[in-house]
Amino acid sequence: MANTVGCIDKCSDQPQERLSGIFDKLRILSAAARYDVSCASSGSSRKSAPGSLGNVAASGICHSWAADGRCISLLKVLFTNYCTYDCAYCLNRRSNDVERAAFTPEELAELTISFYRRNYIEGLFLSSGVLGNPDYTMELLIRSVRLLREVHRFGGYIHLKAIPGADPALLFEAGTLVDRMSINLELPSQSSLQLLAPDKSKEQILLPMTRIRDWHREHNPQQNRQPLLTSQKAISGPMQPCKPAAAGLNFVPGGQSTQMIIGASPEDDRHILTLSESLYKKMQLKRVYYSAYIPVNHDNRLPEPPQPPLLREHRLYQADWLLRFYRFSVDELFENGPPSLDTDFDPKIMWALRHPEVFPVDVNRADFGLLLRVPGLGMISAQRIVRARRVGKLSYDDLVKLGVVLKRARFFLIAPGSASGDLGLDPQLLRRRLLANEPGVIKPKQLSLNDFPGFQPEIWKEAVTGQF
Amino acid sequence: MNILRYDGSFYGLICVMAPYLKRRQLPDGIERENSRQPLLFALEEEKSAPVTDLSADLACDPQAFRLPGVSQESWQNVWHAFLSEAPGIELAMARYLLLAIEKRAGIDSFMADERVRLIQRLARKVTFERHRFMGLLRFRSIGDNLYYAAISSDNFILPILAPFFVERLADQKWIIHDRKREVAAMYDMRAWTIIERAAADLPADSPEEGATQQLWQCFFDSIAVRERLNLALQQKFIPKKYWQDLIEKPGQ
Ligand code: SF4
Repeated sequence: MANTVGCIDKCSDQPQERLSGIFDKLRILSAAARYDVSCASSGSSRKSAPGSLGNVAASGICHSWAADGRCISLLKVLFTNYCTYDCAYCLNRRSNDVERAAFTPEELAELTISFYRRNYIEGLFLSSGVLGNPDYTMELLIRSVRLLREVHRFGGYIHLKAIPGADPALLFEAGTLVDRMSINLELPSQSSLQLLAPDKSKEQILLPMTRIRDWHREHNPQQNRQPLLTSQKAISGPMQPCKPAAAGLNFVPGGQSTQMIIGASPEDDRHILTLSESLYKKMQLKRVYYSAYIPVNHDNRLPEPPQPPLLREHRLYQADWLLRFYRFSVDELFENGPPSLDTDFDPKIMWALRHPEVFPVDVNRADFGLLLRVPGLGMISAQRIVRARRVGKLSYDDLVKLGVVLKRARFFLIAPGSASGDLGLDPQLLRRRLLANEPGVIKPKQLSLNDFPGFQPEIWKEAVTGQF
Repeated sequence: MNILRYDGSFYGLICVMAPYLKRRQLPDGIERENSRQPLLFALEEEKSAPVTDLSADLACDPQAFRLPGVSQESWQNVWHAFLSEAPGIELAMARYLLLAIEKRAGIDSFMADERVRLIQRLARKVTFERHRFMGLLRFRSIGDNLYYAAISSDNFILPILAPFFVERLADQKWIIHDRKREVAAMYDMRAWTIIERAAADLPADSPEEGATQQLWQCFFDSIAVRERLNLALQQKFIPKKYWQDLIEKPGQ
């Protein structure tokens, strides 16, 4: 692969012979994991023993940012990129001629510890190709995390990708050792799955997901049972307090997540988001990740877009955010419009333009839920408004003083002293005004920090979520 | 003209300020004496870690901290804002605290008030930088289970950053060295303390350090998706001023 050259330069020429093996493995197995999107390390409530190594930060921490601008939080590697499966979209598929490697559980545990002690990482994100068969692979993964937890007494974050098709008993065992488990949905429909990942089936993915959900419920009785969709807690408190862990057994205290590839198959945005919504509600997933399809293989079953659909991925994350924190439903979002998200505007503006009857919103009267629907008002701005207006009526100038970004919001709200609201909110006119306001082509932004709801400094949040 | 002098510590500052505030007066100026005795006043969140108590020899009545109307949140805010070391921070704190005393209510809702806004903004700046360093701080191994990290932070975040690592890296000894201020936090697996006028020489690395650093650089380079290269975004998240103390090399 051409894109690993930089690393080869760095990693070759090691003085210590003994180490060169581990360099190659790390190079190959981190490169093989790089297309995995989730970097979240937040939301787990597992408590570690006092005096031991490592803990889990409720609000998530980025330790660095890679050259693609994505947050590096976890040591993200595959255990091995050997694979007996042949998924069309995957670099590691059996039929590809790529450099292969496999860690030993000991190597992996030591590497994780040496990075953690230097504060390079929050923990480990471990995934793997299928080595031999799913059970054997799963056993190796379990051995690695068991070493970390029991020999190294490691209390940091571990996210494990379950191997589809592995024995439920192994799945359970793994779940008692890690903070988060995920099973990739891979593709947003059964037919696409059949076409592109012939070794995997919907049942193989959904059944273990259901099991993990049920075990999680059973063993984390103190955790909020409500599906995330109706919960505001995750973002409203100043710093999210850790809930005390359940006595005894802990089963994936950080919950489960999944990932799908966007743009390798024909499903539209509404279809994808409907699926996400039901995963949040029924499977109680913590996160659904969307990964813009990047062609790594030539395969006539796959499209070959000149550019990965990054903007689409960005819009999906924004819409997903609206589902989880802004009390929107998918049906509402797409009501009166086509089944794809607007490329010019974020989904909140898209919705607002289709619902002129709701606006303008009165800053001094509107309830919190309605304030959240104002384009340009984020969670923190809405909270500030609600808090500040308790001690006095807010004028337009006050909003500025509160630090509310009014670039877009001003078209949608009224406050004493505001010149807006008199636009009549003609959607066409508004559309033009808003477009004039946008800085040319909207650059897709990274959304990796979405995961850190308890994370306060809103400058980041706004930079990251596009402040909508 | 009432010019107050204080020893440079948060505790000392509140001590000299409190009598004025209780009379609802503002001093005309507050000056820091040369010596820095920074902190060693820990609010609720920092209390978890054992702190060396230097306050014993400060001639101050603990009653100084009983200011009616000043909520826990406001105390937290002045403490964090104090760590910004912004010029004139002392008077800004006095104005903010006086407002709290006068209003007798949680003043942090008065976000449109200049006095409140300033303190809140500085406090946010400080906690933001602390959060940043929770991730960006890099330890290097300099001996048997002993690690060293250098930081050059804009704000004096050491007193609120160290407790985080006391919890996280509890089973190793470490030193965090604020190079700008020549102050260091040291943790010996039992307690942590702050050392003044810490020397700036870099301790020698232990033998395995170089290889581990190269492994990290290797990972750092290989995890980036080339098709999505975005150095501008990377630099937005890690401003250049922090690069010097990192192991990895952003911007490549
Ligand atoms: S199972 Fe499929 S997606 Fe996973 S490594 Fe193997 S080929 Fe790739």
